[in-house]
Amino acid sequence: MSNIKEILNKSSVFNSLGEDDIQRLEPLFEKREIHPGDIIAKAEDTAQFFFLLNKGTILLAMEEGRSVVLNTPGDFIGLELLSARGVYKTTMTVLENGSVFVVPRQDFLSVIQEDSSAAAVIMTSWQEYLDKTASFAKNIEDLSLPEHF
Amino acid sequence: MDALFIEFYHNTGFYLWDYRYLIMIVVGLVFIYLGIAKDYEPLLLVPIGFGILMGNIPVFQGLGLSIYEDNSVLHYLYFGVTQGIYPPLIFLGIGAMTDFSTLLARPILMLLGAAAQTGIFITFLGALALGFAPNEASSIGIIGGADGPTAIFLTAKLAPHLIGPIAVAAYSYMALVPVIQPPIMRLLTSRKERLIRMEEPREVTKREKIIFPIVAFLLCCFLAPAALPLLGMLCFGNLLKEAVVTERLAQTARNALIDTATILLGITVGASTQGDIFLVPSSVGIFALGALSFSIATASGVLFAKVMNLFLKTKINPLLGAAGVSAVPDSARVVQMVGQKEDPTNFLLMHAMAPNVSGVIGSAIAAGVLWSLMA
Amino acid sequence: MYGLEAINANNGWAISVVGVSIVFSGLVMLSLVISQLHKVLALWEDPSKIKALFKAKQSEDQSDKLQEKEIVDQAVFTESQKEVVRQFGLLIRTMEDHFSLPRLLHLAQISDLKNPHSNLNNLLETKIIIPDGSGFFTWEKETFDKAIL
Repeated sequence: MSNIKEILNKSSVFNSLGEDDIQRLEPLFEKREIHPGDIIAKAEDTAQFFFLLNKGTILLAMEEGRSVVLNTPGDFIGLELLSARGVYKTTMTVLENGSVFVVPRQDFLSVIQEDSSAAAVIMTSWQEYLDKTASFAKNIEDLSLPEHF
Repeated sequence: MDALFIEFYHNTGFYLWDYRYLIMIVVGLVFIYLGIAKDYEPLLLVPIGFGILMGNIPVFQGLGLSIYEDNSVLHYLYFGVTQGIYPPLIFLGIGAMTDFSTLLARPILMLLGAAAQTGIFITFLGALALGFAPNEASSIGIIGGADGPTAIFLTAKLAPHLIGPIAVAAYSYMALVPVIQPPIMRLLTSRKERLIRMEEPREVTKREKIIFPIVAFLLCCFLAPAALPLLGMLCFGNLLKEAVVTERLAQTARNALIDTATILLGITVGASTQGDIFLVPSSVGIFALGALSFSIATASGVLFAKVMNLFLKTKINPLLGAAGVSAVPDSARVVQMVGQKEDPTNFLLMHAMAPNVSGVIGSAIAAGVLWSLMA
Repeated sequence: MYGLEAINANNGWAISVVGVSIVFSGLVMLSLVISQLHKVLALWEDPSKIKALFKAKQSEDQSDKLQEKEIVDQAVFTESQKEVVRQFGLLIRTMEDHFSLPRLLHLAQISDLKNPHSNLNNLLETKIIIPDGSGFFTWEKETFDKAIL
């Protein structure tokens, strides 16, 4: 799993976390191959997984025809699973062969629930990431920490 | 208390229903289905479909609910249709969306847009022969222009009582472009003709694009002044788009404004198809003639392209003629689809956009001509 | 009244002939004017062009050839990819200047373009399609020309 560690360190969401947090997150991730044309998640579907891009290109289609292209290792998708509604806000279509690291919603939540400071770091980094890559995407920014935080 | 319940029951749709309302509700549901599931002109079919549902709830007269009652909200919204307000607003948006560069690069393709309008006048004759009055025949003929706003505009001016069936027929056939046109196109062309490749068009400068809407407006409206509301708005919208400095206005025209007008037009036209008023024998005639008009328009465009080829050194693909009907950009896409079935590497879409957008101009001129001749 | 009798009584033939003639004259006139428009504009922009037409400018020709070679050297696509790229370009011409990438992908799919996902990715990687920062994308004509010519 050294590869996932590398990606977590590259990811702007996770690289602010401490070594302990990274170590706890590492085993949760499972690698999956992605192929052009695959739709890995659809908007309004329940957000069951969180994706961390390892290799390839993914198109994130939002409302009103807007979209973002993710192609940098460490780019991440699906943090909507932290929101109260828990549904994806984007449809994710694979444009180029590659792989993603996937972590199920419940597993991810259970780890962060144990550590609210890690959760706060992740949320702050997520907002910064959004400001940088998709400042227009108000619908994604509309995230709130679940009540149990 | 029983009397109150009975009185209330007498005011419900369950008591007032009529099989004609039910038929129209099914039609509305089909429209919504086609729009959502089949992606056929969803921006039009969904509002019209829902409008049909709204217009076919049997209502108690006098409460101001029906679109045909003077004091109803729907009636006020319908004012934009009956007075021909929404179609020019939609044309403004279309102008702000349309790129005329393919037309500017190959102006000769504009003739295909003119040829397809022949269908309008042949159907006009057909409608006269079937006993429709000249003003009604004009409104029916314009369905062949495959341009919903133009059809509604002309009908509002000439035969307002036919707006419902004509609008529904026009939009139905526009949505069915991928079904109606291909067999006609294949029937009238040989495989060899369908394989013709078009030359790459020349580059068009920004200055040309800015001057075009002004020249087109002045020329066409001097010739057919009655086309002014539609062509004026179309060209103005296009000028806003091309001028760049008015990008904010162009954005509004092609987004918020056209969407608002389309919603209001769609929902009120749909609501005007009240079963007891809509389901009459003349509607059947209008639908039949509408299909005929559309088919003739397609055939005229294709045949005219073949005639042009007799005189042209560099032949054009006659499939492009079918895009002369102004269902933008669906008929251009159909040309692309039929062409690619013969040769997947032959890309006709861009070339088909030229007759397609000239069809919009042509149908607006045809509407203006008919309006001035009938008024 | 029905049939030919109705057409004759309502002056149908004349109306149709006049109508078709006006539509044709309008569009023929317009097509004639716009077919000459670019020539008039070219002269307007540079009146010296008339003289220049008669002057042989060998040195300019040579520099043009050098420039062409440079552009060809930058091409990154195979012939079949170039064809698809051109087709994407044509599709984009039917869209707005700032277009929606998911919509373009949808159009490419229904137009049966070859490998729409991978080819769209190629266009993004070569920066022929670039994000406009508001969730939409623009077509870089110069980059396209360099890659295709």
